[in-house]
Amino acid sequence: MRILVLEDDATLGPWLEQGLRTQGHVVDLMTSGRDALTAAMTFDYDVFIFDRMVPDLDGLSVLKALRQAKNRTPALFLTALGEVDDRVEGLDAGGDDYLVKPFAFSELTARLNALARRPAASPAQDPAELRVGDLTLHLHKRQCFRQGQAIDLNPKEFLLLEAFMRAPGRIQTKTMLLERVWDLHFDPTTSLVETHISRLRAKIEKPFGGTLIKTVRGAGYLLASDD
Amino acid sequence: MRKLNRLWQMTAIRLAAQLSLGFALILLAGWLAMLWFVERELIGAIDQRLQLASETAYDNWQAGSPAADNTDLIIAVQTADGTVIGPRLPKKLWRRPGIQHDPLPEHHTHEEQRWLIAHYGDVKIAVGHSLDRLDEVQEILHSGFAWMSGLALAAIIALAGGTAWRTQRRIRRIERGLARIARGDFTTRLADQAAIPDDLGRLAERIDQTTARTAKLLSQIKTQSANIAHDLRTPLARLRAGLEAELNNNPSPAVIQALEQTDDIIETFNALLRIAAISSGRRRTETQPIALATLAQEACSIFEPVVADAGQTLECVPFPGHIPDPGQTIQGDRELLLQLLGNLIENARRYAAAGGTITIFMGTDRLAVQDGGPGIPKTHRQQVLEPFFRLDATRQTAGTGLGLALVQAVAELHDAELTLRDRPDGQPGLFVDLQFPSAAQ
Repeated sequence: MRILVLEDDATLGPWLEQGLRTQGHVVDLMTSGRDALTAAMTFDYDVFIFDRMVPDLDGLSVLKALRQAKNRTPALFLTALGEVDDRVEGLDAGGDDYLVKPFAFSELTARLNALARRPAASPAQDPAELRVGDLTLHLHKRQCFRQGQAIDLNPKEFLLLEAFMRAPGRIQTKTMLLERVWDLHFDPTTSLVETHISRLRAKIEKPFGGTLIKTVRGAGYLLASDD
Repeated sequence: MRKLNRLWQMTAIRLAAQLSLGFALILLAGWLAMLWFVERELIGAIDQRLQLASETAYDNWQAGSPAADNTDLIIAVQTADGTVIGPRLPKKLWRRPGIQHDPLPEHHTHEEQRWLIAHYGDVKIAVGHSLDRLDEVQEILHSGFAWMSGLALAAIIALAGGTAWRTQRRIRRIERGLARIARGDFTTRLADQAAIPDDLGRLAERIDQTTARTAKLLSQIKTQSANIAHDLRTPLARLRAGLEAELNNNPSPAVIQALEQTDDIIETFNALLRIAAISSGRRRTETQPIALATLAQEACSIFEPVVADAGQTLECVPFPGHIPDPGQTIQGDRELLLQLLGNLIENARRYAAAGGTITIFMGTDRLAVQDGGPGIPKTHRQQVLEPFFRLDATRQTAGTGLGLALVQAVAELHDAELTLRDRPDGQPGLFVDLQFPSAAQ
């Protein structure tokens, strides 16, 4: 992926640049809003990572200007503010995701992957069913099958499995799952996600054997994909 | 009676009542004093006349002329041999010289007479004066005073009452304003446009100045904490980034431990900032109508598996004898209220014994979380709501020590009253009671 990073911190910027390069991405690091705006208008990127608070033009204004110029590249905000109002502001300005400092690098990469491969399609083209390996999820009928056998899932388990099946092979972090499945933007300090994952595993793995949902240590979980 | 009591507790009204009462007492005292004074003066004048008439009568008698009958004076003379010239008077009257009161029986009147009995050697002269006039004067004084004092009292009560009522209204205004300020609305101003700037007006102005100053300081503190938050988040991010990079190169236990400890710091830091943000009312914009019972059920469905995994039971039931009305809502922040319930459930789960039951009671404007743990001693119930306070016995248990402080902050944001109690059924355990303002308000 080609990534534009706007981050003025002398340590974090290079760390991001280095980390993302190690993962095989092409990274342009800018330390001022004007430079970032110029770069974004000049080159094509797969994803933007903007710090909200930088000297001269802040990340929010840069993205607003880009969105006005019909630039639809997915953008993720980094912020040291972290209040709800700030998150809403960021999303209103055209941001697609929001990450509060300090964050784990694995969290950033998981979110970047989700962003970059997010289909630009409208919800109307939403598939009626999802298929990964021998797992099938009927989204409208709210049914789940594995090897032709119906599996009874409760609503949260269904949403959880849906989150995995929409992005097979990609890491889902704990906070991403809390946001998507429970609509919670805080850490409830309980083993909420772990508990639901283990219940889901007991239903979709135990009777059939083999591991479908893998734990990625220190990062999150992923659903083993076919390939 | 209670209404009267409440009225008595209003300073201005009480002062007016006290003042009116004092005025009435002074009127009464003045009246008594005046009566006494008028009577003394009139009696003095009568006595003077009696004295003069007595002497004249004696002179006349010596000169041989009979006692001249006066229109309003009665004169009698008792000679040395006991003969009485003039009206007959009771014997006992003659015995003692000086002033005496007695009705005159022969005249068959009920009017009182004032007598001066004078002994001139063996001749005794009695001069009597009717007290009719005195009674008349007193009667006039009585009715005159009754009218005057009645009018004066009515006037003073009306005046004092009116002033008191106006003052009381201003005091009520200030009181209500202060209550709004206490709830965190620092835009409230109390000064009124009184015609004459008085001490109440100045008091209100002073309070306004204080409120404005507090609001300014608060906003400065808020800006500063936002800056501090920003200034700390970035170095923390750096620290975590560095440790993460190091973990990839050299996954030693020391690095893993350092990373875990950094995450603990970040967790506490985030919780503190969150409590600060909630307490400063920054999240007010997120409110929406919420049915508490629905919210409680959502919390139950979210946290039930976690509780079940710990070998405990989470149940969600209505308050005994109460059916929550799902149509009644409160204005609330769904996410914060879920976090509040999550924290309470987590607390209950952590401190309650295995196999125990955690119960969420749902009402229309009330929620409660009950556990079967050791409970919290009465003396500590206020302290546990403060940040970082922990009961000694639980010091070893994990957690930031901010859980209940956050619950308290969220409750305050919703104007809900948070109370820690013993279980109503008498079993050991903690009963956390949340009373939200009723929908009518």
